[in-house]
Amino acid sequence: MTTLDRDGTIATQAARAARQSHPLLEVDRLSVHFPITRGTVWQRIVGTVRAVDGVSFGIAPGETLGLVGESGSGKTTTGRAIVGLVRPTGGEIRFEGRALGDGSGSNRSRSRRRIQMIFQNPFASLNPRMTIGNIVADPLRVHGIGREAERRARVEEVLSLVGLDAALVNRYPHQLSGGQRQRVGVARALVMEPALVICDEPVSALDVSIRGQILNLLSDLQAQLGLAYLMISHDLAIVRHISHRVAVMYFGRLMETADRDTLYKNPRHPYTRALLAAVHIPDPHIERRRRARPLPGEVPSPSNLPTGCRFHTRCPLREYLGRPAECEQVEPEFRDLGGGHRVACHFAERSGEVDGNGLPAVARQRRADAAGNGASA
Amino acid sequence: MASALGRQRIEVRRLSVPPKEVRTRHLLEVRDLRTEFVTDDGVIHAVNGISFHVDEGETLAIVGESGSGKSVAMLSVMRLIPEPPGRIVSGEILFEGVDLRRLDRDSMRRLRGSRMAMIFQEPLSSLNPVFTIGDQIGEPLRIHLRLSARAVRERSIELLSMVNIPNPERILESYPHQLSGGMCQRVMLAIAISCEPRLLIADEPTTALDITTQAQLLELVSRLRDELRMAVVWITHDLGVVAGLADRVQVMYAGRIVETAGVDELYANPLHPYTIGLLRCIPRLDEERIERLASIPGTPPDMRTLSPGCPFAPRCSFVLDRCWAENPSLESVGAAHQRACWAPIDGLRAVRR
Repeated sequence: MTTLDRDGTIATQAARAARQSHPLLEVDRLSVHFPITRGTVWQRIVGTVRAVDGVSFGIAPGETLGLVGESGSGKTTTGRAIVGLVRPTGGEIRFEGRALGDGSGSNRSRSRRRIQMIFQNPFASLNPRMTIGNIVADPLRVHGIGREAERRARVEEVLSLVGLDAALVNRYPHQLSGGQRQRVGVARALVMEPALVICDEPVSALDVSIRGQILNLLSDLQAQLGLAYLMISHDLAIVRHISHRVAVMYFGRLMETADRDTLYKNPRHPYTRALLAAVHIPDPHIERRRRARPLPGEVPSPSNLPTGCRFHTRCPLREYLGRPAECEQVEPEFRDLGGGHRVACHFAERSGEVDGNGLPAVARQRRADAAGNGASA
Repeated sequence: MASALGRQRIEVRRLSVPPKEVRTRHLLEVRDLRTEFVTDDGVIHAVNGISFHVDEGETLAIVGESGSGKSVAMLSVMRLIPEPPGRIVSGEILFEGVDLRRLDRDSMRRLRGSRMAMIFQEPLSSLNPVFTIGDQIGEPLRIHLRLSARAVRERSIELLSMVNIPNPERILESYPHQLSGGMCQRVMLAIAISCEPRLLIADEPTTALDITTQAQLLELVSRLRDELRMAVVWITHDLGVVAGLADRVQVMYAGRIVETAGVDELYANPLHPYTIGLLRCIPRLDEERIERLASIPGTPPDMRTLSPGCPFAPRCSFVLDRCWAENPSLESVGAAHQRACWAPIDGLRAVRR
């Protein structure tokens, strides 16, 4: 697995040679702040929502990074900034060694082709008045690629790649099932031959029974085409399935990042642990035993974030430790625990001690099961 | 006209003689319910003859994919099916011993919101954007309980605290768009329980919510259910969500019940290939990661043209010749465990995880 140096300063002369070993995408101290305005004609800025507030990570070619958090964590805004749907207010996004924000229009549109997006709701993200063929061909038309006949051939090729019958080209979105529609969304992203696909909750609007179809399709396409994914989701069970590395985000900041197995076997941030504890397990005995409330307290207002660690208002570890002053006063550093496992918590080493509110019986059960499985396998 | 009246009278006579003990035993009893929608493209047979019951204080989970008829079944119970295009073709819906199909609009209206209540998937679209939260919580209190303005306010504050909303006085003055999705869903829940209904129907209320908010809402519903001793029907497509909440689970496919059992029995011993498939599809954090996530192949059937065989046959890995010809009916396979499937039980047990 590729880990990247955090500074990520690329020596331009060696850029081409280093491209293989360098990440495909580097996000460096990215921030996206939205102004809050009052008044309809003379607008005054009365505050700021810091949706993304200094986030750095990288994605290697062919790699999947899971970006996890609740709504309001800034995970979707991060994805939209990478695709260019919102303008960053600070930091830099580099793609294939080149900064995304600058350069001429043609340079920008070149990188834009190589970064595509799949949206959450396949019922809302497809134009109901366009045929499937036109929806998938649209990016080609926008970028002026190929003649009509070539485009048609390319559309059919991509449809078969995502497991759809080429006969669907003349159908409309409402004639398809949810799973088929999401396949159209995947086809539309792939038609541009991207290197990176931002998947924003690609299966959360789908029935549990067909999520596997889409997730397996995404893995197959990755193996076949060498795609890299940024997988945005609030569901840690799904992210575990498809990611190589995972980053956990809370109100504009990364709280923890590690490779998949480390994050799931040894989560250090109390927020990560709370998210893990909230995942349902289809077993009545385990579910009934866990009675702890996963995260007490209200989500803070994004325009008025808590001081110090922004998670301290809901943190079970802080309660357990008797509310140390650091949590409220000092913003924790995003420090390395070794092996690229980074965490933004003053007391990460002690997070395992919490039993009442963090991840209780479920974790122990899980560990016991894992041990049992290991012995029997 | 005369013949319609005559038919109605016959129906009335037939309905008025169910055995007495049955009428008092269950809070809700649905018998042979069929609901259709007439569209330009044909008749959609959404619910095809289902019978089930809910007891006082009990939690029933109804599980199935979109289009399985689970929501339409419960909307039929609430008599919230728009007619036309919808129509309840047949069946009895006995709630507290009264057949809801024979109630007029006003009587039904008195029942909804007071004796039975429902919460929906999209909390933000269920609340009216131009009225304050206070207006909307107060409505059932004024209409059903005829409380005075002051009593309405006091009770509204009490209800908001019951659903763990901090600062209830301030929230009463807020509009829905000022609240988060989780808060809106709690407001919906507060409205639903305002008259202490005997039955709460929850139609995927957590699907649009974050996983942490979802867990909070589930906790809240199970607490309120115990406090108010109300029955709950929880509609979902995710067997993971209801494992800790339900007493019984009923799995629906193509407008029919294909399996029903007590919660422990259903998860430990599922005997319909569809239930087995649904359980397999859930990625489990308590188990080792598997390379390929399971899914149920294919798509749900076209509800306009249902074949005579088992509707699940095209997607089923245990399919037999018989499945294409005959639709199996719900039969007992154990204590309070029923399923509708031709596949031999031993074969299913052998392949389960």
